[in-house]
Amino acid sequence: MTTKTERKRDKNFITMAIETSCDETSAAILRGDREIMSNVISSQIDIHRAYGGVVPEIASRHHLENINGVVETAMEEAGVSWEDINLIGVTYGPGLSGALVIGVAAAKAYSVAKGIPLIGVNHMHGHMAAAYGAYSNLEPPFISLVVSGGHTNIVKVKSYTEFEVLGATRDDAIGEAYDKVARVLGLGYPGGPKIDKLAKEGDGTAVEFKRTWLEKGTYDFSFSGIKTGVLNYVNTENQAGREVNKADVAASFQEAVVEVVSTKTMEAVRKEGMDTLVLAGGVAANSRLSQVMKTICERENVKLCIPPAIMCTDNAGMVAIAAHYEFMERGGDGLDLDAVSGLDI
Amino acid sequence: MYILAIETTGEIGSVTLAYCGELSKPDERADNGDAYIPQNLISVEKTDSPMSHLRELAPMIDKVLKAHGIVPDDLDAIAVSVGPGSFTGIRIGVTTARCLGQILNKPLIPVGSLEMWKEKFYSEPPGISEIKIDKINMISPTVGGAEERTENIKDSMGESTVTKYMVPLYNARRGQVYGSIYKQKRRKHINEDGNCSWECGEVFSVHEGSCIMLRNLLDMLKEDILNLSCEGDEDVNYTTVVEFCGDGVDAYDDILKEYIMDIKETNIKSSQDTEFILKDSNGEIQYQNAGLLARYAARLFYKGIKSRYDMVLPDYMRIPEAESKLKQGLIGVKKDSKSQIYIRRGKPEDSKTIADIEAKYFRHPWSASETFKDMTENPKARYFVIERGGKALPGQFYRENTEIIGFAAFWKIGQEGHINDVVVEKEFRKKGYGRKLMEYMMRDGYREGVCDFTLEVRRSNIPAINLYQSFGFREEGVRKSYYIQDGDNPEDALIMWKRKDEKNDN
Repeated sequence: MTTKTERKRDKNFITMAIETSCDETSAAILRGDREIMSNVISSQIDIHRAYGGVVPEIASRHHLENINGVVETAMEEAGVSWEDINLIGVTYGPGLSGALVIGVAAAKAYSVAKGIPLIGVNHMHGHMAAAYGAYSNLEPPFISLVVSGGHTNIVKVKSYTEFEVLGATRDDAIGEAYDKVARVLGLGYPGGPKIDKLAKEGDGTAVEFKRTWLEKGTYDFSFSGIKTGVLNYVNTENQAGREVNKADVAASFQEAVVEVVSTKTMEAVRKEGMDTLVLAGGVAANSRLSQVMKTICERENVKLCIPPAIMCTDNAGMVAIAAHYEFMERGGDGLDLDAVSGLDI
Repeated sequence: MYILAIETTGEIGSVTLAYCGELSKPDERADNGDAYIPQNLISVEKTDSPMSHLRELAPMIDKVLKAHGIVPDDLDAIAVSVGPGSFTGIRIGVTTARCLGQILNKPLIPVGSLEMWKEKFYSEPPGISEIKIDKINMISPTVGGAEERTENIKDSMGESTVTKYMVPLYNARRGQVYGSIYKQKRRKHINEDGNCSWECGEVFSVHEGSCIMLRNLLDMLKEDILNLSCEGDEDVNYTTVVEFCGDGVDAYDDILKEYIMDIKETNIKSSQDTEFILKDSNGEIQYQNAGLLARYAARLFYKGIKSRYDMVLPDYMRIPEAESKLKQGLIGVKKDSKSQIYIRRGKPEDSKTIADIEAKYFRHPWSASETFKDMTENPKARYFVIERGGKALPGQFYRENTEIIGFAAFWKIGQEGHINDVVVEKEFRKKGYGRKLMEYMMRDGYREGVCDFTLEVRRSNIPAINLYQSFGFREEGVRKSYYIQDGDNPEDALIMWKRKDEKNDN
């Protein structure tokens, strides 16, 4: 673990990070361990919206065309040159394999060209490191709830570089469940923000969708039951010729998901004796989840950290922070770094 | 000067560092004798295992540079193979080259992975032993795998002509290849002193790289070979050598052998001698490699061909499957499916609906069975429908329960597209649907090789004329009193054309 004094000494250590694990091409410059000088994100969301989801081949083609410009902009915004950069961090997994390849190939080319040390970063570690950028006094250990498009995990962050997964989803990730429900309700893609927005107009108690708790004591999740419950409900109503109140369905679905997630997370915080909870990943931007979490954490006297929205999406800023800590702990990776699509936390 | 060459489009990737002599005089670059560009491939590295380009590429680059004691800043240019080939492989090579070019501020030399095979015409001249030895020595013959190979060409005493084909084939699956056909004529002369010399013609592309059915490509090759026998000079020995390379040779062994048999049998009748080379002298299939790339790239570089890093893009030769389906309206998710419109090619099942629409707006409409017959039996006919609503069920690409609200059709006659109909139902007009339908139809036509479109329109149909003009159609003639079904006052038809070379203002 890096101590505060060491951090101070490294104040001028510059890290450049690259993130291309899904459909955002991003590059960032970090000074020291927490000061994000620039964080450029080029999103392809408008391109993929037409397909109703991210098309890996198309994402990969766009990453290739975007990456050089994104890196250049990040350096310009931060006012640094290649000679200033001490470390190149890059997401090497988990993610879409064709997309990861672009970031890793770029980082390695830069590294080999200038002899800059290279380090591969686990995308999920990046999400959990995002909060350091916004909360300057935040230090491990803490519990992190990581919810993004493809992942739902309760993680015990033991140090800057050690992680223990306490709970994970056994079927759909939350993001996938949201996308499918949004599709059935005709809300379009991506499902998370659409359902979150519509749910504000609806009654969360209107439809009682069965919560899945799994066996006693587990922190694991299952969302496919709740998702199927929604699909069945909508089908039944349609066949009976009854109008479905989309806002009520969205609110009731969200209520069911948030209840399960918040309950299990708080159980983990209590059992592990932690005083801090960090939300991470794209779904941390979900307004209902953060609202419920705030209420519970206040009641139970737990410090809640929610990074700003830009640090919750896929971005290179968080990767840079994780890269820095990782590098201080174990040094860099070789030029034979490979992308690992199914990398575990 | 140093060129770093990166080739990652095939199963095995490779990197080489080439040292090329400096040009001393500018005019050296112009000549035909570029076959003798001095260059020395000083080291070559290949990946150890298939499809491990990402892991192995950067270490290989590091290794070839360090082995020769140079640093990346010493490089003068970076050559990269831009495809076609494995999509991911192409991206690894191109991304690496672009980033090297960007950070080192050096030019890139983009080279097509099919085009690089032209190098074989230059670096492997015919009758190697017969060419002045001092020049040929400058080419290192052993690098890049299997290039040390004496040509098995009839070495008879007299004058002779050899036509050499290079046919790179990369497996694109489902009977398709990314392929090219290159050829060069070489003529052997007997000089006064009794020695002979070769005169090499220009390298000519019979077919320049595309994604194509292998059988179609081989038909082109066969036709070209059979045509040779017609133009052959009777006084000289006439030989044809066809060399295949690339992983398409592995993948389509049976089809290739079938064609080779076929061509040989046809040639026996015309007493033309054709030799086919599927493997090199070591009995191995030849694949794209950085050695070949480096030499060809050096040749291009001397001619001034180079690019800034951000101008270099992959040449996939194929759009992503999802994109083509989206364009055909087969997939796609939209907010409100009721008002969303989709355009796709017409299917025979649509003939009834199409005929119904025709009946509403034309005085002499085709019946459903006539339309059906045109769609199914007339190879010139192309139909397109515009539909709305329905739903795309998860996992299925066609939409269900849609409502067809218009259609368009043309006949492809040679390189001309004769547009017969563009109709949108009345209640859906003035929404730009006709324009979308036209755009889709013409794009489809251009892709199929249509150069010029033509149509006839009533002189009074101002909205339609305006629409066509906005696409660049111009009035080129009038058919007087064309619409005889009008009765006593038949209206004129304007004949409009959109010629391909005319720029569209919009």
